[in-house]
Amino acid sequence: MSGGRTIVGRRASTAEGSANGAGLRKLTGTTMPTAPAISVLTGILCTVGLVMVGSSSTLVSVSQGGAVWSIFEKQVLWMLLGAVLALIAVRVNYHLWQRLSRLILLVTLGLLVMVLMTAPSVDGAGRWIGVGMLKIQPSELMKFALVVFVADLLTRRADRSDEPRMQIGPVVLVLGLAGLLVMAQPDMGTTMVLVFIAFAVMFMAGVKTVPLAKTAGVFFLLAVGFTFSSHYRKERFFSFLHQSGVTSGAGYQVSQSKVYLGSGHTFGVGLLGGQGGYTILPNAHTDFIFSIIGEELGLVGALAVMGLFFALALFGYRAALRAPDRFGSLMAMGITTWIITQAVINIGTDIGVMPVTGIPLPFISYGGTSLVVNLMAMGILVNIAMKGDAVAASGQVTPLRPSKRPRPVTV
Amino acid sequence: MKFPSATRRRIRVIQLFMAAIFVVFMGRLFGIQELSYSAYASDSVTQVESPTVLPAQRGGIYDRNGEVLAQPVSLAIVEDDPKQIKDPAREAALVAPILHMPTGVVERDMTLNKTYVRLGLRVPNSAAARISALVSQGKLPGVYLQTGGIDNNQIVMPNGTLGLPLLGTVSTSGQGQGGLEEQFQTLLAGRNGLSVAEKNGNVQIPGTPVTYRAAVNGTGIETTIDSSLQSETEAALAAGLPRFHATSGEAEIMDCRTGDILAAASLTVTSGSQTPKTSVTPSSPGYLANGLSPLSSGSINQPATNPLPAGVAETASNWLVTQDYEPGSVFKLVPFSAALGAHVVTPQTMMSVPSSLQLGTARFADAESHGTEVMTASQILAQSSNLGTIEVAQRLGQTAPQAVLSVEQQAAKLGFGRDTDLRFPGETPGQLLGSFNDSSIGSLPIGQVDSVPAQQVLDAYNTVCNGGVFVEPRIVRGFVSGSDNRKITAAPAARHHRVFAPWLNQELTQMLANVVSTGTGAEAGINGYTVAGKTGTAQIPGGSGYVPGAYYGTFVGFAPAQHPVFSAIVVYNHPTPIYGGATAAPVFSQIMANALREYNIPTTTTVAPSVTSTSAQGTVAVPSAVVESN
Repeated sequence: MSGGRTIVGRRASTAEGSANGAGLRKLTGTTMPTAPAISVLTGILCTVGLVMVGSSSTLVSVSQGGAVWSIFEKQVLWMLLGAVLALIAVRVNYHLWQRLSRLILLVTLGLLVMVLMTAPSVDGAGRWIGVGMLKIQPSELMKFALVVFVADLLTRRADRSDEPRMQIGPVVLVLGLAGLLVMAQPDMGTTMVLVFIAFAVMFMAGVKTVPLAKTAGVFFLLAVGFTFSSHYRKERFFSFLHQSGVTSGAGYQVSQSKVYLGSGHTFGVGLLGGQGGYTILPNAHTDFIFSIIGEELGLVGALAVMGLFFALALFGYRAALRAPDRFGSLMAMGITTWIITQAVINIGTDIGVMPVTGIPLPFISYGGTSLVVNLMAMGILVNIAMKGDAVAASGQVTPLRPSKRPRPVTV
Repeated sequence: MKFPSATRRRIRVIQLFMAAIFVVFMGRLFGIQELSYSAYASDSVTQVESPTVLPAQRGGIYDRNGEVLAQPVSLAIVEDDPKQIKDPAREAALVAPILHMPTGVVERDMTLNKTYVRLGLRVPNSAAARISALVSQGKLPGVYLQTGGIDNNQIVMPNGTLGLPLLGTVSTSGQGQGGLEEQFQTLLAGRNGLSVAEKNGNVQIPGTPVTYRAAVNGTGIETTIDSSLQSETEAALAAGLPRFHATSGEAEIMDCRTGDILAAASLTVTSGSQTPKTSVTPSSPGYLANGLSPLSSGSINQPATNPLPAGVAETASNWLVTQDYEPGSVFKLVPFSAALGAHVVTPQTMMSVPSSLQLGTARFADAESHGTEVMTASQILAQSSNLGTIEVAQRLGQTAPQAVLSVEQQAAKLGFGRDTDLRFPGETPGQLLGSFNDSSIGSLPIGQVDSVPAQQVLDAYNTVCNGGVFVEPRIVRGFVSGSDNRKITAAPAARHHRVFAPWLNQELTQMLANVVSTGTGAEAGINGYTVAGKTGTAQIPGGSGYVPGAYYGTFVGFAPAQHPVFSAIVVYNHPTPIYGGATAAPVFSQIMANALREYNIPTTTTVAPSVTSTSAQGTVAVPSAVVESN
């Protein structure tokens, strides 16, 4: 361990005279520990999220008959709960999740069935289960359950790459089951996220490309067929392509979203100064919170948030490469892919380049289950990263970018 | 853990894929937030700032006694809160007939998922009273009435179209169009107030900045019009239109001393029995469901019955000031007053009047052909001899151009060719002699050159009426403001200047009285009064010369001649018979007699009583027009 630190010091000193070069290399190179980076990035995103939920939800709170900060206060409580679970997850050896894999999957699928049977329809979508503060959204849990399941499966069947059916088959089975249950809520956005996570992890795990692509093709055709089978879904899906002049529905949300993004200009109108937080922009504090960021913090703020997610992706995948074992690596890939996929879909919707699917922006959008589950997942990722960092520090470096030749020393 | 390089490559693929997406997103964000910033920013403001116009109440227009000539309609707004309505069908059935709306529409408005629905936006007081009664009986839970609204865009004229060319109309956007409504738009309209609050749907957001500016109600106008005289004048003028087969006509009566216009009528014949296009057109009830634009509805107030006979309508504008014409013989006051004033003739000067006269290319003759006659100047005016008048005018200069110049100078002194102080919308100053030619000295004195509005002709004769002092005409007597329209500010008195010396004015008065007593104006006479005035029968120009058989018949004058109180003018367009003395004069007589009777002008006394006015507002005591004669 101490030897690793020496390496760090030596490398830094070889590049003396160019502190910037050293810093840059420290960031992009192999020596930067990933666990603290992931923790800090998550913390920043959570802070931004709290601030933005507070800034955008005051009017919604009032219009729902509550106090000005009632939504914000709920979000604080959820975040505290998520933080506690994350801290526990950081401490718990991630192999626990591998052992619990099937149990988690079964419980989650059971909850999804219960949602369909019991949940009242909220905003046309029955997604919640439970009462009061204890309402949870099993489809959020499903993402976690799927990641654990896929990671466990591909770990156990790592040596079966000659039989891709053995690797892809069970994933397709679980995906199909979960997809149907989530789709029935109906929640096409979450289904898309589930499918993308599963295939991205299988791809990165080394599953043979051709059968994987074929399976992905089938899923794609199914999605297209499903979308076109309903006029409503078709309209909603393609509404992002024609937003001008639309005054209601999903197209309206997106055109409003752009109005508020646009009015933010470079530096934004300031916290609480935004107007999109009124109900003119529906779901401002949930699905369209990125628009409020753009409005109140400007282009600078919006790009910063995107940058935070991108950095999180970099460190998440690096943690995957450093993970001490295959399960940890696949878990890290899955969690990172999950967070980033949601971020991409959410932001893409808000800026009008993707269909409206109602996916929350991780750590930032208001929403209890999503936040808690995301934070817990980050705790697991940090746990994996800590183990990986320890391995890297002990010298078994798996460089992300192996240096081809020694840098010339300039004196 | 060591990974096969394939896995590392695949992670790289996913990373690059995501990086590409982020780059695209950044570009898109830049486009929205930087390139399209201004468009989106303005959208954002208009969406949330919800300006509510607090309408100012438009001022009314009143007559000299405070009677309403035109004022905005007061209206109520009917709203409902669907959440409080248990039985929409029953309530809709009650409300719909009162609002003249289909029951189904009202019922739908009572079941919308809203908390605030406007059922009727401009409900007249009568309907509002019925709804109010039902509400107080508890039959309409959830229906509310907002009273006290004023619809500035609907002007009610209690006397129908009376005086419409003077008053003008108000457009659906609250803009005065024509007449006083246009002239005093700014004053009448007042200033709308504004309340800008940030709104969330229909609910004002608490604590958001609010701009509030109270409305300033419009100022009303008290006119010089006497509505009963106006009504009689319009009726008399209108009756003459079919009687003389005229196409249009104008009449005005004025207070000599003050220049106050007591009545001014401008009527036209409409083809057949069509609705006169310039009248206030009643339209179907303009209730609007759900509070749409308050400006898109028509009038729901039926105007009072139009007192005019079928086929006669008010003109769109006040032709007395907006239309000029070659007045013909009534213009002869100009050369005669100039010649008398220059001492080149006296009323008794004997002159030889030829049967015809060739000047340049034009040949002049009198209306009735005669041989060469010897006439006094007074007889020439009384008989309205063109050739005699030309002789009188020729004496005004050594040369024809000098004489023409003198006539035009006198015309200018009498107010011809320039805008009056009325500053009426569309007012024309008329057109005076443009270029001189050999026939000008013939055509100018007999009223065939200068084209002037009838108002200026009346103003000239009113100078004689007013003892030789020209007084500007006036139609605004005071400005009405304050709560309950109690504060009245008198308008400034009309400007005036002396034109004729008293002796000259006496001579002119006598000569004009002779026109009625012995000359062409006999039919203008009124039993018990001496009337002074002048007839005019003017050819109507058209093409290269004059339209055959087309004339304006005019009579202008004043009474009583010894102690004048009122001056008046009547003009008919295309009358049959053609003569002003046979058409305009008898109508003049009728109109003047009405005024003399209404104001109790004694037939024999030497001191005329004053034109008293008792304003309904009670505080204006504009000095009487006529205190005593000169």
